[in-house]
Amino acid sequence: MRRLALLAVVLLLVVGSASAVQADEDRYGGQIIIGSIADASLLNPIVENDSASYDINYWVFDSLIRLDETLTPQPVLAESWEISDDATEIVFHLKEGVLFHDGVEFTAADVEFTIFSILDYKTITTKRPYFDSLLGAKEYLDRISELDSLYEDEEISSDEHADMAESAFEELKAAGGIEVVDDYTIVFNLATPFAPFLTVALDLGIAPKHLLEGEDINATEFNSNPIGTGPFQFVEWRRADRIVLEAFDDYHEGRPYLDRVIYRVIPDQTVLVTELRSGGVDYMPQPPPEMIPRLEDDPNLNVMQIDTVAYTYMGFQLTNPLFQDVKVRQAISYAIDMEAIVEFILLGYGQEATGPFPEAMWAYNPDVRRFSFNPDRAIELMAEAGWTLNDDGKMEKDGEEFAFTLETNQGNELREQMVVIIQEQLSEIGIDVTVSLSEWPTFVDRLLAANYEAVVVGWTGTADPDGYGYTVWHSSQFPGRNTSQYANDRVDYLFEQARVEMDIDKRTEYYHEIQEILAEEQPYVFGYFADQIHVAHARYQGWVPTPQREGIMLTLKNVWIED
Amino acid sequence: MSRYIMRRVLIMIPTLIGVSIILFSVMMIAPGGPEAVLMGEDIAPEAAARIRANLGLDQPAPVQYLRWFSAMLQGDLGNSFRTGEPVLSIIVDRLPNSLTLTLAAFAFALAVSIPFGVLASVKHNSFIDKLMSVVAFLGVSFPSFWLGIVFILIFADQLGWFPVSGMATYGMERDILNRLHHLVLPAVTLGSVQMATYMRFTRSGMLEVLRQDYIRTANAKGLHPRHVVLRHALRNGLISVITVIGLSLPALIGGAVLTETIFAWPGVGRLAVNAVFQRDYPIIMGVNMAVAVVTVTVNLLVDIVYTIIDPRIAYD
Amino acid sequence: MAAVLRTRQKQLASERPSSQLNDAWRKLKRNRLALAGGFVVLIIILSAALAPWIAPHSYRQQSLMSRLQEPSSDHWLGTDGYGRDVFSRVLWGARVSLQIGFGAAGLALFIGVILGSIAGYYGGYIDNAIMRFTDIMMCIPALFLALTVIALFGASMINTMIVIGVIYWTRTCRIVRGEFLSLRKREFTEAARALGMKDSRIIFRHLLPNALAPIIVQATLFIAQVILIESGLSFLGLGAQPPTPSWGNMLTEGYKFLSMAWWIATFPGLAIFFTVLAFNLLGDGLRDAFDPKQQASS
Repeated sequence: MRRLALLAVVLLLVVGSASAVQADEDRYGGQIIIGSIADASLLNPIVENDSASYDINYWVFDSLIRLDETLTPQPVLAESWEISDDATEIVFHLKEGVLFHDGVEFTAADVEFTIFSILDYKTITTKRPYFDSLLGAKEYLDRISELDSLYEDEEISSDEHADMAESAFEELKAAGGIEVVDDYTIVFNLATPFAPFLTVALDLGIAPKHLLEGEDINATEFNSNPIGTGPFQFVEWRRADRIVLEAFDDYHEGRPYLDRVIYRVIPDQTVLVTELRSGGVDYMPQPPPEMIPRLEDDPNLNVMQIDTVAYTYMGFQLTNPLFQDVKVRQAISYAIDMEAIVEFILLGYGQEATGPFPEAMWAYNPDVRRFSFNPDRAIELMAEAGWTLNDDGKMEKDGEEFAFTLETNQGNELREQMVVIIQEQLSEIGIDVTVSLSEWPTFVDRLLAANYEAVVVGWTGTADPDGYGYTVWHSSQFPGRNTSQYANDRVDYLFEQARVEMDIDKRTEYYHEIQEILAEEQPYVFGYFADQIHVAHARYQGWVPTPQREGIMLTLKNVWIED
Repeated sequence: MSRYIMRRVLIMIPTLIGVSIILFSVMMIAPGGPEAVLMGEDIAPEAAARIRANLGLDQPAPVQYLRWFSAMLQGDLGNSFRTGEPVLSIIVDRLPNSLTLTLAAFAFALAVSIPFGVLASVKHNSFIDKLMSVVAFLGVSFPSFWLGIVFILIFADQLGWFPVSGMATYGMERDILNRLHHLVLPAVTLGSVQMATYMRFTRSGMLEVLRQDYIRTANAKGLHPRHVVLRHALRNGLISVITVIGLSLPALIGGAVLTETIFAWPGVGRLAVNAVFQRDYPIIMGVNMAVAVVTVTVNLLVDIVYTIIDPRIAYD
Repeated sequence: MAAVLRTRQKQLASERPSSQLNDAWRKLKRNRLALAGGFVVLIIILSAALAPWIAPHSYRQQSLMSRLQEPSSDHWLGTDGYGRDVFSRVLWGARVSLQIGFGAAGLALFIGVILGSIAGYYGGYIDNAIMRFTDIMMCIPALFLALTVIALFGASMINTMIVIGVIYWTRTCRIVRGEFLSLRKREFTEAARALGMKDSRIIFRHLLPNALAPIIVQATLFIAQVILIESGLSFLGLGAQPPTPSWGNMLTEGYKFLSMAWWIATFPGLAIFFTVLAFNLLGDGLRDAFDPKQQASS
């Protein structure tokens, strides 16, 4: 295996050790221009939902903890924490004297406010599931969906809905899920032990209560003029052009080396790469694989190849009769040559996925069923499911041909290429695929509303397998991330056990069995884990690659310019 | 004259109302709506209804239109569905960028096409005439984004004469030279599209004038041919070009969508594209209205210039 | 009475544009640029029509093993990012791009001619209403409107064709109206009306043939424009959808590979370039040929 363990990769890739000669005080100053193909949309960690906004928010907002390059929690706003033996009570001691960019001191109330805002049903956010283990949260969310269906049936008016939801929210606050002991101590009480709570839930930017209380969190002006406690403070945002951040002098870990971060939006990838080569941009995440060899040849550029926890897959809408037969799904998996996709489209910068977990993760199970490219086997399986080739060479059953629409978002080149390849490879076994590309916001909506037949998209995982697992596969997670509407009692049970179990060996067992079932059932055609590739000008030093999503960007506060 | 202008200004109003009705109708009959984009993971139908109501989309279309319209009369173009920012300020931020690009493109196209057009007409049917029309057609025969990327690869990447993209280097926004430097490639890209049209009109306009009696008389009187062309013919020959200017403006601004995307130019074209993809109706309406206002105003100015240049035209 | 009518009709017939067409053809024959344009147009139409028979490979058959291959004897124009034969795709692309071009131009012409004839023939408030509507349409940047409508209603080859046709009719409308305004004052129109001929008959049998020249010119130039518009929409992801190979989406797809495989984007780019140039030269030649003020050139 070409692949190394995470730790080894990290050791290999820690850059800049040679320049330790440069004295620390000489490292201050300068700027970095970061190129992105998309603009941010909401600069507020409570409602952020696109990767450009995430990038900016990483720098403007600190979280209680952050995961380091070995995916171990490290304190940021928290000074220390204690977890009770039954893992239902977590006490955080917060740093004192941390200032928001407007000079107001950060306290436990801000943490409480941020999390309750996420739970509030009026907030449009993707993060609610992380906190549903808090005392009272489940009851609150159940109550909201109960009220929603009453409203839908016109048994209550929208005013009544709002009033009842409001009182449910008051009950939630009173339920004791979050206790602010004093300004620097906060306690989380969980209804059930939730092993990944620390790593999944608390890696979250903290927003200032004093600026957001009483605001409409989805549309407040704050979202385009953010204030956090992070290493860089917001200066200006010229939409679709650039976002400018400056070093925050009073940053609690000490001022970052760089004076300024300029986040430039360059919508065309070819142009962006050209800017990188000609010096108009200093850093770019994820260039298209075809361009990587050329960038590697450029002595001014430092191409960093880093493990990933994100995978791309083709997902079926399992409520669609076409995909309900497991044999059909297996046949499709056999008909798609994922090995060739990794070799020729990713140019080897990645590896095939056998399930939702990357090889380097402790929960990974290498011994699951694999579906190497085998169109003949695919046709056999289709036949077993009742689909046979008709005179036009199409799969047919009861007079109906097998045809569906495969969607993905526009602008992601790898995904666009993948849908075209899948379309062609499935046509070889007589399945007619219509490709549909839509812009990310439109696409996400269709995805989350489960309003599709099949999609190619990706999940970005977290340090703990629960983040990849429970919120995607548990049958309770639709509406939510389980947009394929997968439901398997055994898998539900195993995920529930795995998130309350503290013993890592037992958890491994649970996750292994889950992977076996998922591989057998193929609710997704698990695609590939594409390596993270980041390209920066060689003069920038101090990057610490982490396998987490855009993890390397988090280390921007440690980056300096070598003379 | 002032009565004529008054009348023309009054005609602008129903035109602009018509533009807004067409756009509004397109959005109203389109399948799906912005709530879908806004909801994110809140996909409960109740949430959809709630969000639609918040945006005022639960009202019948005519009511929504009248609301939008009366707000617009007070200078309020609404707020972006996605970010809640006032549309007017978003457009005021961006429109000058697009106009700069469009004007520069326009200036480039005229600077090339008028001399060449005059030359072609003077040397009517000569080799030069033929060459000029082929050259003019070259520019108009490339997809503009393709032309843009080729320019970037040659003049910015290989030769390094111009910056690759953007409007100015950070921190040098007030440096006029820096801005001009950034402006060259996008303006040439965008301008190339109109070059052939302008040249064709210059050439045919000039040809017509050159055939007319007073020019023949001037020639017969033995005036220097250059003097005849420049002093007598050009002024009248250019009238037809001026007409095209007004007509080509929307095409230029429309073409700017592609140029702005390639050159990462923060204008209204890209704003409109993003807004369309995100179903941000107030921004779509706002941008199109702004462009329509610019267009009718320019057309009015063109007509006024027209009457000044060509006194034969009466203001009926 | 019958005899009078016959003479009248003969007179009307002599106003028919057949002599004008002959004249134009003679002038066109002597315009070498226009002829070259026409020749290229013919070749492109032929290769589009014959694509299924002359393309050496399938336009969608992929072979990931042989992706990004340089032009060779097997793949004359190389292979693209999926290992598909670029030459075959360019041929099939001609089909798609020309279909969109002719379809959209036909539709635009249809709308423009109908509205323009009505406006020009009837004049008065009907004319006024139609022309105000045309003004309104001309104030909206057509590409904006096209991309808005396509993005809202969904991208496909058919949609692209329809939307372009429905949006870009204004110029034709104005041209036809202008022609009609001058023609309707002419003697033969008055005569036809005096004879009690039906309006539709006057419009279609007598006026329209006389206005044909500028319509043909406009159509020829417009097809070139549609091919460019389609490529622009494809660049924004709003043209024909894969695997349908329009030149526009081939160019957009290939242009990402520009630095490592120049041939993928270059050949569809050249196809667009030559086609558009050819239509433009032909259209321009036609314009000159139809122009009575122009002396036969060369």
